[in-house]
Amino acid sequence: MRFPFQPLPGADLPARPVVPVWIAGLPEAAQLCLLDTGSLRTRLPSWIAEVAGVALENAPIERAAIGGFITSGKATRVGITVGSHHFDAPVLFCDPWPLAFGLLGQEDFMRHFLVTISAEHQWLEFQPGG
Amino acid sequence: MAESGGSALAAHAGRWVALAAPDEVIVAADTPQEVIGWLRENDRVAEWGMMRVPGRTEEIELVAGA
Repeated sequence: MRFPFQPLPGADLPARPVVPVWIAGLPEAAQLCLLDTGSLRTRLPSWIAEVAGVALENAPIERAAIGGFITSGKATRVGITVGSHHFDAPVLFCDPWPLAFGLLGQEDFMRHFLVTISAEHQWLEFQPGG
Repeated sequence: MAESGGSALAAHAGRWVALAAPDEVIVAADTPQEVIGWLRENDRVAEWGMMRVPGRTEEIELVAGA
């Protein structure tokens, strides 16, 4: 699966390695996520859990420092689909979340794929299997 | 009704949009819950995702990161 880098909507800024992922319970909209090679964890805004019907009542609360801001969230496992590949992974659903994209981390997302990034040609590619 | 073109996104600065393609807006609203509600009611799918279009310059810098 190869994805072209995409610019941030509404801004004249360089394109980023962004992937549309689908969260179980939310088939109406893909979620654009930045491949964050510096992060171990996958983090998404908490509103996604709300509209997807993800139960977080008993989930543990965690703090996270992301790109210069501090947030907190609740972690639980959810179904994630990228292209035709599906897997369950832990996700930290955070609030506040000022970023335009979710963040895909190493331990719970990238470990499912062999990832190739071409910054020169502005694409990223996933091969299932890690 | 869907809009397309770069200006389609700029017109929704500060709002949430659902996208059929990188520059094709399906629907825009003030909250993500409203966007999802509209997609469900109208049996539409945002293949290219949904997000809040950054507003002020500082906000754009924050969401863009380094």
